[in-house]
Amino acid sequence: MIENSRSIDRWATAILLCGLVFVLTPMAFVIVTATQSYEEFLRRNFSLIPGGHFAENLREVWTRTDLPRQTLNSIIVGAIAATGRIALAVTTSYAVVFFTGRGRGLVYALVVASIMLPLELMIITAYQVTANVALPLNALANAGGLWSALAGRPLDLQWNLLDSYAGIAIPLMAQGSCTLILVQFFRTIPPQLARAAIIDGAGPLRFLWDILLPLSKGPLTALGIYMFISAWIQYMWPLVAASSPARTMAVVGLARLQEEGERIPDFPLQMTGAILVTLPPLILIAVFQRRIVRGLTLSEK
Amino acid sequence: MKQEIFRARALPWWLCAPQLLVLFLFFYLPIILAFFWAFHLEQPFGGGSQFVGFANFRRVLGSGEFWSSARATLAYMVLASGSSVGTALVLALAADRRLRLSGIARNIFLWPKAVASASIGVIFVFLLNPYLGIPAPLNEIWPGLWNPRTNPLHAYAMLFVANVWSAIPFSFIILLAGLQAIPEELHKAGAIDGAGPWRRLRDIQLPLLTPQLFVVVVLEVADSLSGSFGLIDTMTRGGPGGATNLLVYKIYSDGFKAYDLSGAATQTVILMALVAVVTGAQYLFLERRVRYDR
Repeated sequence: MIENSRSIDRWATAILLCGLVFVLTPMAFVIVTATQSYEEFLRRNFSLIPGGHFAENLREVWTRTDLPRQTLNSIIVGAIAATGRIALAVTTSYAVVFFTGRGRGLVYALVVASIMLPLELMIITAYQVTANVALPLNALANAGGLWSALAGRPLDLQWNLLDSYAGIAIPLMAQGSCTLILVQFFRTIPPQLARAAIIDGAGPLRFLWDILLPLSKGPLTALGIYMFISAWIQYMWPLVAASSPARTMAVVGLARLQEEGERIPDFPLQMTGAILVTLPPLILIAVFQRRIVRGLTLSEK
Repeated sequence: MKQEIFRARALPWWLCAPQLLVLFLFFYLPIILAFFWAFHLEQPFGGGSQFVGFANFRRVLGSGEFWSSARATLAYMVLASGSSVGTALVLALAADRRLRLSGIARNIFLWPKAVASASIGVIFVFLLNPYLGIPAPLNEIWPGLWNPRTNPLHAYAMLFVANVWSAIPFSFIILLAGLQAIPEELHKAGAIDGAGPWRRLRDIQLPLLTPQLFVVVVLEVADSLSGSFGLIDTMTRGGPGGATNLLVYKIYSDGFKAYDLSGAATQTVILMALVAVVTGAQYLFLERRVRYDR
């Protein structure tokens, strides 16, 4: 920094230390508790002395609970949602930034408006739509009794997506933040590049596939990782959209461990589950921290 | 909007179509449906719907339970987003000074992003358990000192702490990036003019950080609401005595547990209006203070 401001640096260090303690303490307690056996935990109550039962707890979580399968579900839904969001965002941002024509501003506004109202706020009717995706078709065909006049009875198509991977993942894609970030990024790409491509005889799709996508590899992977994590940590939507154990996601499964109804809950087991559920996204974040930050802020620093 | 290179009529629409279809089905249609059910009553035994005008609104607005839930939601929105943005701002300002700790802090402050709100709830409910958690020894000395299961204030304190913990990463990233984009020359010029660090914070850093602060505040308001469900469902379940029964949670229980579709949809419409008004107010009052050019 500029002047010799030791005292301020000391304050800043103290603040950062406080922040680190605040962030890390819960994690430390989770890890310590996960190493204790239930009996140990009951006898000693809350203690910071680690036990030697982590492997046992892990085995119990692995065999006695549904968490392994639910973790697989989280991986699948996370992968679908992340790829889908990136694909949708790439095509939309490409159309918004690189094309002339009317309606671009409107499309962009329609997409970005979705950032303000999260899925959690409209959970009831989003559930209704997912229970029958053909709903708008029915409504359109039956408007004014049209279909009844033609076919003798109202159109009643049923297409239930609840309890399927697509039904959990696709509504998670209905959010425009990814597009917002990509539009900002595409705008930083020099237009001369596209002009040169045109002179070389490349069409718009060729330019997208052969030049733009390879150029955006870095931001796209960062965004993809971030979107995977965002899908992984969802709770409310997977809770209502997946009713069968075969489609339950890991975070929902972890919250259900709470409900098993012993008088004093098996906290060591729960904390072991929490580690299992949190570790995959945590590793991604710790490893890709720089890339993620760069992708989100589009700054090279 | 200066790029506009390709000229094609149909292609850009085909490119946008998938995104617009998904958004229509799972964003705009749910909103339309919420308005539809707010003015209709579901007939029993699957008999379709009946238009009832404002009857649903009269019923919802006439219940005291709704008003206490709405007040709690508004207070939670303001306090939760305020406390988390404030914490992230202080941490970002500290991390912006190039200290030895900054590098590690930048990595570790992102870790909470990996923890789902429901997982945080499961963890904090244990850590703050009055008999088994961190406060247990204190509770033994002064019984009743801390009990979020019976004391609404304690329950809220628990929610806020968990919310701040989970909201640090996003605000921290954006604010730190904003701080680092402020050119060093401005600091130097300020220092030459005799402005100390506090003065520079107030007159250089904060004004130039307003675009990022604005984005973070707007998004945090929406995020605090959507994240609140996972916290409440795992920590308080709306209790004690309905004190933490925020609208997001109340809509869920009214709709999925009490099967009151019209009531839940009516409250959804009111909640969306509330968020829209708060966001709009932020645009009106905060955006004016935002300085985009540096």
